Amino acid sequence: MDLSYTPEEEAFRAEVRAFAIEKIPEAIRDKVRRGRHLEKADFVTAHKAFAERGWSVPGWPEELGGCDWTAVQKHIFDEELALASVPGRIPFGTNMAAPVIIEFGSEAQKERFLPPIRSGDEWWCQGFSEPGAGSDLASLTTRAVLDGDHYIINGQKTWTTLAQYADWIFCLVRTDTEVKQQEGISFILIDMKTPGITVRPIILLDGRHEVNEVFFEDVRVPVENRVGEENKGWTYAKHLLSHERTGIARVGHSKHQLGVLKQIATSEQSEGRSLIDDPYFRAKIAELEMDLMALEMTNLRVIAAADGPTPLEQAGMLKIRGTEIQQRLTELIMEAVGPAGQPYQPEALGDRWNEPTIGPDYAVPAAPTYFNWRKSSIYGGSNEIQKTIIAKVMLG
Amino acid sequence: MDLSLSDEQRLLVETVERFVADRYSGTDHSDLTKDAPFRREDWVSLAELGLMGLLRDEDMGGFGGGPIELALVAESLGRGPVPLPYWSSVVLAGALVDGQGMGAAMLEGELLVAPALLEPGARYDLGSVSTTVEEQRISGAKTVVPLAEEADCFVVSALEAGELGLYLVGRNAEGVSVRSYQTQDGVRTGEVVLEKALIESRIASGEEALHRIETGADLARIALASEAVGCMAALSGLTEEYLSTRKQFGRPLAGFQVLQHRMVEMRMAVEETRSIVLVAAREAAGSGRTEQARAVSAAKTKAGRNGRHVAEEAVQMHGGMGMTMEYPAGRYMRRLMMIETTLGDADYHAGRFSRLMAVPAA
Ligand SMILES: Cc1cc2nc3c(=O)[nH]c(=O)nc-3n(C[C@H](O)[C@H](O)[C@H](O)COP(=O)(O)OP(=O)(O)OC[C@H]3O[C@@H](n4cnc5c(N)ncnc54)[C@H](O)[C@@H]3O)c2cc1C
Repeated sequence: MDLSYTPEEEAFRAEVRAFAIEKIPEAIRDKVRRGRHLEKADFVTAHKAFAERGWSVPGWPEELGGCDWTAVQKHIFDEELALASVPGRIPFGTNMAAPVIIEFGSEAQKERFLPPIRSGDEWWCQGFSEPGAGSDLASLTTRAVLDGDHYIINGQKTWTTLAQYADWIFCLVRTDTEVKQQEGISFILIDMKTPGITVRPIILLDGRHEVNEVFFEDVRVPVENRVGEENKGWTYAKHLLSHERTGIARVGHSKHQLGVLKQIATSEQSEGRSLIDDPYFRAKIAELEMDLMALEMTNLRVIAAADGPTPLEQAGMLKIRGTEIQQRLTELIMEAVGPAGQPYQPEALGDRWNEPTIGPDYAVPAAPTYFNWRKSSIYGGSNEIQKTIIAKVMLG
Repeated sequence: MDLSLSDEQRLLVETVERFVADRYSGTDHSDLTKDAPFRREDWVSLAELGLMGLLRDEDMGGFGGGPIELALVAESLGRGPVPLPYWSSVVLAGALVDGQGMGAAMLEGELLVAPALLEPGARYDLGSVSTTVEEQRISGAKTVVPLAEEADCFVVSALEAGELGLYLVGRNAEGVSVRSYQTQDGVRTGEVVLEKALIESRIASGEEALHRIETGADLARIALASEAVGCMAALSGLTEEYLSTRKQFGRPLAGFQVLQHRMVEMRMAVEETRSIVLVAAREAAGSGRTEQARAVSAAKTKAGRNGRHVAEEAVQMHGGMGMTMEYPAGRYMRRLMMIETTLGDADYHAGRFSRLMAVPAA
């Protein structure tokens, strides 16, 4: 075992850092640093900079535009970008739709869908969850009925992240009601402009429009938009869930936020000294940092052990600890800003706000971020469901 | 000792519960995106129910209640939750202006008094004051003042020739400016800037001013901690109800043992916090200052820690539903987080408790 980074890996790190600083506009990185809201254009601009450099889809096979990187390189890549306040990449196209299309799609589908995902010209969203099918995803009821060379789709998806921006949605739909739940599901790609689709906003705890309800009423989708075989959608969805888990622990993001927390604790004055010099608060930060150090090594161990899809139970561990640490960071940032976190200032989080904030600038996003990050232990398979999966693997 | 509610106390609770149900059972008032205004008529109806004078002696037109009645009222308000800063403009204000002849107008809800004690950058230290008074004019800045825009006057802490004092300042006096906003839980609040504003009167100075601030803040903390109990109880109830009806994997979520145990923990947290608030209420009614302060800090610490635990568990166990603005769980979570950051958070009070804690001689 050699746990130090090689000179080549360090050189790669420097290359990624230089790219981040030179090619991702400072205005965008400033927003991330200050916890401001990003708009669609910010994500697209960042994605296009990656695409230009050939780095927008590192996890894909090389011949399709991916990078021939080791797991350690992928880790370095994620970490350096996060530390440079580069926005997290929206995963729905690159890391969710694409791996399924690459593995199970037709040549025509690959030609049609992969290039605009890689370039950032088309935005995707994920249509899995339904009002009655959350943790129990296999019970989904959105129905697709064959009518000549089209499916007619009726039903509802919900919690669909950023569907308001999306050009396409990939959905799990029921194509057979007679068989075992998992065996009657198909994976289908739907153009969001198709007549019969309605998108309705859901406002989250922090006051933001981040997720949606998506309604389907007699929506006609060409059969050629089905990926792979009919009724095999569940298998494909499982493939998707095990793919590209390198970033799931979000170690880089947490390191970035740990930096933010320390900065705030240094600025805040408490009983005649810096909050960071308050031994009680400092010990809380210290313990969190220890957790993060351990998580980083676990992450490296998991991804280095298996180049390729990560076993589900290991991904689950990374997700659970990763989100616990992310949430703890938002809690400590809330605690650090104290009463200055009380004013609700949504305008100050958005673009085009030039007035002074109420209280320090760093206090503005503290509470909304705390509220918003409660989601991380719910989505992508809740932490309870992750534990159930791990237990099954452990105990049979 | 008698741990049961008297008839009068039961009536009091029922009255507040009715008020909350009548006025705050909808969801709209807590939708932050709608920027709900302060409704003066709600304030007046609180007054009509006699709640403005809860802690005032009966011969002064009050209810003659003490800290226990305060805890009962606040818990019921917490179940709303009600975006009215009762802890501030009734409890704290009442303690600060005691004996100033403002009683009648305050009791009727006509005179709205906003305590303006905390200064920007002072965190939770009410003793950190740099507002000054010179020749009847007051200058300085105060932060997160509930109902700043809506109040008729402020009670401001300031230094005059180096000595702490409490001053009455009219909301509309020249030199007073307010930047109004809502807090994360939809309570109208504001930043107050005083530039050579003419004071109306000096209420107290020196030891007396300090005493009023300290005892007033401790009473207000009991109200806040008890309000937190109300929020937590509501969350616990909501979660039990939701998990009993929400089905996944062919059965109600309440059937899964991991979730059952966590609901039990929530319930225990509610009961534990309710108990410690009662300890604080008992001490506040009679003991010496140290015992009072210590018990109040215990209550505020527990309310902070348990409040966050219960809120986070409630949201988590509701899944996506708990994350929405529309569903009430988030409303209680937001209120609990604001309670936590008002008049000292859990760390602040754990610190105060540990300084006052009895330790054996070395
Ligand atoms: C912000 C956000 C964004 C999202 N984005 C998307 C998206 O883009 N596309 C998409 O398809 N979905 C999305 N989701 C949906 C997400 O995947 C679901 O919320 C999640 O699967 C949980 O389902 P649910 O909300 O119906 O909760 P439920 O399944 O009703 O679960 C409620 C609670 O019960 C627990 N629970 C459930 N079953 C068990 C069990 N057997 N044992 C123990 N505990 C259990 C859960 O862990 C949870 O705590 C998003 C959700 C959120 C909050």
